[in-house]
Amino acid sequence: MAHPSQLGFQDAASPVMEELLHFHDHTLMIVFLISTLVLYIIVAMVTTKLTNKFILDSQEIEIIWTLLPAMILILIALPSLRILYLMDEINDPHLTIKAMGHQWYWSYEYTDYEDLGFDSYMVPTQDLNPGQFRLLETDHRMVIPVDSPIRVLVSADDVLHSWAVPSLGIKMDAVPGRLNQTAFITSRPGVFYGQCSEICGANHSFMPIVVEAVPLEHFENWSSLMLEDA
Amino acid sequence: MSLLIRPFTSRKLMNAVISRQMHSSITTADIEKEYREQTLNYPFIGPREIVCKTSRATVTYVDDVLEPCPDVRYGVDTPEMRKLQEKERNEHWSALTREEKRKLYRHSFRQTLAELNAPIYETADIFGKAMILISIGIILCGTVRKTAVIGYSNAPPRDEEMQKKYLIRTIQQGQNKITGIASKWDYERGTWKWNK
Repeated sequence: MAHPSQLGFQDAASPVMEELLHFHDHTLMIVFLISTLVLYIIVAMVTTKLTNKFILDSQEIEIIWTLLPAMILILIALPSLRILYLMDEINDPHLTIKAMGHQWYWSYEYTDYEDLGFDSYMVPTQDLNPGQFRLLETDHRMVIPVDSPIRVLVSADDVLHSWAVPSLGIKMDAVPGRLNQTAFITSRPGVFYGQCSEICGANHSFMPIVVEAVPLEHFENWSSLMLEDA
Repeated sequence: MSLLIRPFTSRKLMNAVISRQMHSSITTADIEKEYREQTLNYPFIGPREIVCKTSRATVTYVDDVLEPCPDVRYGVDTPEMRKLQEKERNEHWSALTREEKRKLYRHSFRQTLAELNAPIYETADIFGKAMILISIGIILCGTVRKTAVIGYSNAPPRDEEMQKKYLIRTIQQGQNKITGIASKWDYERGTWKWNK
């Protein structure tokens, strides 16, 4: 969850998000360098009194300003492609969860061993306990075991939604009639908040996602309790 | 002998020829006839004297800081200007009055270097217009947000107690505990890390 007045990314809770943070730092540094150079050139061009009407071409500088951007783009593209392929690696997940988007709530189904399914509605502002986060809390959280590869199959029941959790670096569109797959590992226990990221109607802003990563024993206790309640 | 056919004649010869011409009274018609006789440039520039030779193919007058000597004089050749030029040639420049000097300059040039280099404040002009449009946009946006948009009033009013509870819960959950807000909290001592 973002704390007030936060400007940057939330801290990473999965290895892929860590990679994305480092890539963002690398690319932003390049962007700052290029922007500073361009700003300097603009100011120099605007505030000079020198003129030369008879410049036609200059082969040396044209070679430089063609090759240098190409090299910079390669420097950006190589880590980007590396992370792209890293995100698509799915190595034998321990758990498969189906996240279905409805108007206007999410429902999660853990059907690997038993038939566990529940809906996750946002807690309205007037029903919040003191200290709970407004527009982010849900009545049932998606609980997962920490340090285990999880596969999430995202789909929707009616209109487009998007299942997004920034701390884990996940955003996957929920398309009705289609199964989208994403996978992640949580490196540390905690509670990770996200919100629906595809416009889906009047209450699009009011269908959050809460992922809670707990040790395996706690997860087993929780799933037994949920099965009893259901 | 006309100046137009041989533009780079020696100055002494030019002076002698022009003096001889000055002593016979010349009218405007004579001048025009003289210029009309050469057909190369007269249709384009009229009865104007060519002074320099630049790299341009056609003979035109151009005001440019980088080319201080245009091809052709700005003003039309008239008997009065010829008299003034004769005076300029033969006497010391202190003999000319200020008005005569100005007339001679404006005969050869359209704008002075100071006028050419004077700022036109184009940037300020465009910036001002852009600022006016932006402020109209901001006023419109604010008016619409205050009057027409529903939803900004649904947020609960600012509450210091609730903000403290949010902070406590954020730290209890360990949100952003690597470089963010919970990383500044010392869990063992139960206080902020900067409180020694």
